[in-house]
Amino acid sequence: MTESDSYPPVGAGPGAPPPDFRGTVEMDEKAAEYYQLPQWKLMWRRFRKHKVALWMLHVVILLYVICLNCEFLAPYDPSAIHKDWINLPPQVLRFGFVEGSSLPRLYVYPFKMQQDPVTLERVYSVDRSRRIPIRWLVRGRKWTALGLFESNLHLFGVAGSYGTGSAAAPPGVPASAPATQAAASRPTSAPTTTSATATTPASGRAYSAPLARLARTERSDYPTCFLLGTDSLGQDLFSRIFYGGRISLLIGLTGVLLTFFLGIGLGGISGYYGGRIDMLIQRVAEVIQTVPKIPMWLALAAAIPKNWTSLQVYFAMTLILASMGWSGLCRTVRGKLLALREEDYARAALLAGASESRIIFVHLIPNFLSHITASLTLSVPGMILAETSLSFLGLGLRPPIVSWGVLLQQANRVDIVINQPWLLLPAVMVVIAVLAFNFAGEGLRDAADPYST
Amino acid sequence: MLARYIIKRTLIAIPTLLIISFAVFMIIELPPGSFLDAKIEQMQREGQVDWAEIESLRERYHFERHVLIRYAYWISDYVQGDWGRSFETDTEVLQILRERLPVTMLISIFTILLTWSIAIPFGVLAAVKRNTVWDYLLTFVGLAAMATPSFVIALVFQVTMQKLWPNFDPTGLISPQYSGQPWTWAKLGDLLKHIWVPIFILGVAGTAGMIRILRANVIDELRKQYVLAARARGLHPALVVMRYPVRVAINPLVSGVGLILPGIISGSVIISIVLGLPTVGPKLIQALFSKDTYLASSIVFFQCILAIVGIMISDILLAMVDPRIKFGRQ
Repeated sequence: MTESDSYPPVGAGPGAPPPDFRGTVEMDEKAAEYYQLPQWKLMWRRFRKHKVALWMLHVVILLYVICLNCEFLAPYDPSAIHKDWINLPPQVLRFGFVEGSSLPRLYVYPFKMQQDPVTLERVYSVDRSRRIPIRWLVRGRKWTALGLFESNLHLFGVAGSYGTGSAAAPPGVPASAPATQAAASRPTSAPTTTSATATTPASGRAYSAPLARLARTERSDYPTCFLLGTDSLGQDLFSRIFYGGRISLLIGLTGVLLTFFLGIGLGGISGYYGGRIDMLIQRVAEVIQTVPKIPMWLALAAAIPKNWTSLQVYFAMTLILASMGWSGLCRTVRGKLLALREEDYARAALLAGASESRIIFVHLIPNFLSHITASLTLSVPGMILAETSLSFLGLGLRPPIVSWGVLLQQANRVDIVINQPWLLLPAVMVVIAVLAFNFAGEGLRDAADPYST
Repeated sequence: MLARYIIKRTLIAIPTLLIISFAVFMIIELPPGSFLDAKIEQMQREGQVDWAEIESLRERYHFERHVLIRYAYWISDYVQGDWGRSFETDTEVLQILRERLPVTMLISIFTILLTWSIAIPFGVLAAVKRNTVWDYLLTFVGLAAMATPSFVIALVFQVTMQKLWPNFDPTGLISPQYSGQPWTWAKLGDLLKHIWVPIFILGVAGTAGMIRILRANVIDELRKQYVLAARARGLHPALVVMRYPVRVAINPLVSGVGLILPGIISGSVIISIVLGLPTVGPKLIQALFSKDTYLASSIVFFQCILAIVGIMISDILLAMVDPRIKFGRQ
């Protein structure tokens, strides 16, 4: 960009230099097309060049897809208690031949539990004499997504394991029947009877009642697939990581959206109108910016009443995270608007009779929307980490709501981490999510900057 | 000029601080139920309620008064140097801070020094060797360290230590046999044996972010014409980098010292809790949990004061290191 070009500097991306048409009147079709592309398409073109960022964007999308479909993907109910399988180590997924099947398939080994008669300590050992095949698309515990969509299909499970209570099975229909149907397409002769139906015949409706939860716990001789082990209540960590991811990832997203609306709204008003209202908003923003974030987060999180429902706590957390974050965005938006409102096209829009809100939100804000998108993408990881840390301290989300931070709260002592290292696995998901967001966000930021080289 | 500037900034800061103090007090008072209710409940559970004690507590801390009046009591005492007492232990807040501040500050300051001494060379390295294996490695390690919650780093570190060196207890700052003892060389040695653990863990977390900032700053500077000119003059490549771009690039770090100020006194809350350190942070959490209003609001407000003072120091330092910035101009 140092040499003087005579064509207008319209964000020439690396590797796609606009053809030099100095001295020519007509440009070829490709160049013409390039110059007519809207800003976001140019941005996307630049972004695609950034291979790592592109991959990481895919990771982000994949994480959201997984976590939004966790009812289907998770084999167990996140709150189902398996009291016979407390603190079970992960059942490692293996690939090989299972009896009754002519093709190799995925399977897990069951665990044998021995309890020390004196200390009552549980000792688990891998039982290599049996192999539990993983079945695809099993019918099991019924779930509803968003209160609209109902099914009892799970991506995978093992015979009997899905029956986290006959709460799942429709009344009158034995839970084994759909499972047989689902498994009918596969060559298998494994027994489809479930211990679940045998042990819990009466827990038909009261799904979330504590009694039903107790009733849904099962005897220890049924096949299980706790791929990532269980916690101190015998809850399946694999399923809980999926459900927790939904909360953790969405809290980042909703927090950022709230920040976005607060920042753009207040910044827009402040920058466009100026005067007294600008003064007021800017003072408030300054106060929020000077206040150290962490103690304020702690104080606000501690102020959430203990008797609030999970949903209320969730929204309170979002609000807390956003309330400390909007001031920076507000100041950026204001600064940009102050400069842009003097531009000719803003005048022209005003003379053409456009309303003030139209000028702000339709003509001016889109100018730097790409920058805002990038900076917001970069602020999602901060929110995820903040939620994780606050929940870890016991100040954020609380059980029974499941988030990565709540899950990590179980691993808060060294002796626990030494004895049950798998309880730290949610942290791996946090790292992946935050890394993916950071890489994708940096790619977006570079792509949004028309002067980047 | 400088004196006038400081006076002006201080005067502007006073109303801001008043607003902040009010907000802090209100937020901490926000949850329903007071410390007294919890105390009565606890006494009931233990058997009998000592109503005389409750009454004296109520009297002393004005529990029956309106929250605004309690705020007025608190803030007027605060500015006179009486920061109230902790309900729970009935010790002065200042006394608690006096016990915990030195250790907290010691850890924080050493952490900053460690962070800088690692981040500056590596940040410059990543910038100079841009888009090489070095850069990618540092970028990846840096981003991964930033992405890991600090308490996870602390936990993993502790577990590794236990595996490698089972006799060493990485938690706490002083071995049990020295606690409560007067300071001796042996006790100091014991402190040094423990203190590097939090410094190391905090340093790892902080270094990562700083390497990223420094790398970006140095890269920005390397693009400038004067670097080209210096190279053209035949200056040694290392000298070209060290003499000019690095000096400019670390400017924001030096002037950013003020922004670290509020963090110095709290230390990292989470790491302190995981490692069981006697710093201010865990005390704050405890106070927030038990609604120990004076203790919690005094600590939080103290940090807010330090934040404002820190920003002021930053602005002054910035004007000192960068002659383009003048005092007193908006």
